[in-house]
Amino acid sequence: MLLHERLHDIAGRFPGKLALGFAKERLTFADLDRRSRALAATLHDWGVRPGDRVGLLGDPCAAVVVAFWATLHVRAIAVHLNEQLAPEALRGILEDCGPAVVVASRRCAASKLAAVRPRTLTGRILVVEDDPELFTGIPGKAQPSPAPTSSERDVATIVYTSGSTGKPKGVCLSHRNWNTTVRAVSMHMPITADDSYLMVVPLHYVHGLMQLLVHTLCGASIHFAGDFLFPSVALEQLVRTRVTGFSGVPYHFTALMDRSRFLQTDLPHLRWITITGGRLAPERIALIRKAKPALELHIAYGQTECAPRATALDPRRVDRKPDSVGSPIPGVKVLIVDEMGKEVPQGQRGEVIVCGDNVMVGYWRQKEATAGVIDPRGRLHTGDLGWMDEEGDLFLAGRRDAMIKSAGERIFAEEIEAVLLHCDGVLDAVVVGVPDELSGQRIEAHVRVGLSLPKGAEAMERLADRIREHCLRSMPFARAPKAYHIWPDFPRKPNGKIDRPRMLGGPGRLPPAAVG
Amino acid sequence: MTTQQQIFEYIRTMLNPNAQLKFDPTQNLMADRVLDSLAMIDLIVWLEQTFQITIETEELVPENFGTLDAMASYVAKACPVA
Repeated sequence: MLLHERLHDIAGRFPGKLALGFAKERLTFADLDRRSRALAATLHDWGVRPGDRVGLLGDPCAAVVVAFWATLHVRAIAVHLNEQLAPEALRGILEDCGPAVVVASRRCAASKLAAVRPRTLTGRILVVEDDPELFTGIPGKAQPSPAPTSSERDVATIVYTSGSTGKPKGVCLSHRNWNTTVRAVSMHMPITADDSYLMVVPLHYVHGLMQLLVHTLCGASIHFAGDFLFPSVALEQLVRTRVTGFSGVPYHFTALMDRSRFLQTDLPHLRWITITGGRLAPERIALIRKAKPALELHIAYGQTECAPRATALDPRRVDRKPDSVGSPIPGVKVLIVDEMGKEVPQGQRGEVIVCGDNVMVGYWRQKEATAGVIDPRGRLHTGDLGWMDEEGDLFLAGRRDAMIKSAGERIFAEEIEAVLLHCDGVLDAVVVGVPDELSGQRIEAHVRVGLSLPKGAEAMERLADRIREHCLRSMPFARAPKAYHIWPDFPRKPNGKIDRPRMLGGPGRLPPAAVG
Repeated sequence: MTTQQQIFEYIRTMLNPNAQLKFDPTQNLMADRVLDSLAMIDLIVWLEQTFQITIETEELVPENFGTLDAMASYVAKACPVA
């Protein structure tokens, strides 16, 4: 069954039940199904055909979610866009996926799309506030568009995992991929129509999209908290909406613990929380467990390329092994292999491989990049290193490459280094992730400026500020380095290679001659 | 430089140079998505360090941090010398 067919099914079973709750609007399942089919008819009238892309840009609101489902109804591909991207990066993504229509809030249309439209965006822009009736279901328009032949293997969504700095890479996830995840997650959590969920992550982030699909297709209600600027506001929403589930990346939990009364507040309705997208310090997990012993604490792992969940830790094992990311979810197999692709004995370290119907179709129009991560047997090579214990629980142990995980984002050092090299005066750059409680890994940049090293602390700081501004113009704050270490030349080994431990100021080494 | 200007400069140069902000102490920076959640926490830590104040969790709410004016008056209350 295709995803939107499942929505129609659920709407038939729970027509009057709350599907989506926003600050100013509430939609039942019947509303959501009727509105999305009506908008689908309009999209079809406008020439949107199966396989076309529809971009979605703006704060999560009823119209954006209706447009998402409408896109699936016409068998087109939904692409949630990140409005925090720099104009150049957004342009790159729009050029890459070439949407037939972009649905945007007026604010985003004016501030984001206006800048990129003339050159790259040939499709139609549908501004939500200009045509509100399109999103509320015009009578007589509620006919489903004619059903062409379609299959579960068709791509339903493209999720861009990079592109904020380097070449955009769109992960194509099919109806089958999502169905696999929805089935597995709803089984192991479990999620039923009695559940409700508070969404604090954006929909362009794959975890947000997953929760949208899982909860909607289980008949559960989703309350949208908007952004996560004020942890105490999110806590107040947890109390007020009486949701049974909540999830986020480690950063969300750190902020809730440090900047709100999350631990002290009684949340009797909350049954589970899930931590995903990185590691929350075991001491913090222990604090949550102590303050809320009845709360099920799930730790999950995966990546966008496997829609996006591969493993989850049984909450009953969290106290015993808070460092584990758990065992494979139902229907998914996880292997640890050596450099030759051969499975290693239990307990031995190797690369984490994911097999199952959740593994993506591929990267959008990038055969070579796809072949780089999916082998001929259809297995996803995650690039993550790890090992499995005797109970089949996975422990992660770093990366095969220089990828940094910060605040739930996967960031390739090379992409940021490339941006730094475009900054006037920067001769060389090395970007690293440094352990950090708030974000998991704090992104830091080491730059070589040669003889132009300015004299005095103030001049050095001005230079660091200039480099910082250069970076922030190219990427969102979350992906930009938070500290800049400036070197006349990098410390080198006798063979001329960069001496990384010395440069990074390892134990007993020289501290970097830097400001940050 | 007023407190509003000081905060404005920090946001403009250190947190989001792309926003092409114009100095408007009454602009709702949150509704206009000038800051994402990580940048917001960075701003809070910077305000605490720069003005030598402690922002209590109950006070970290949009009414106190939604605009430059709101932030400046919060800082003035928390730190009489600012």
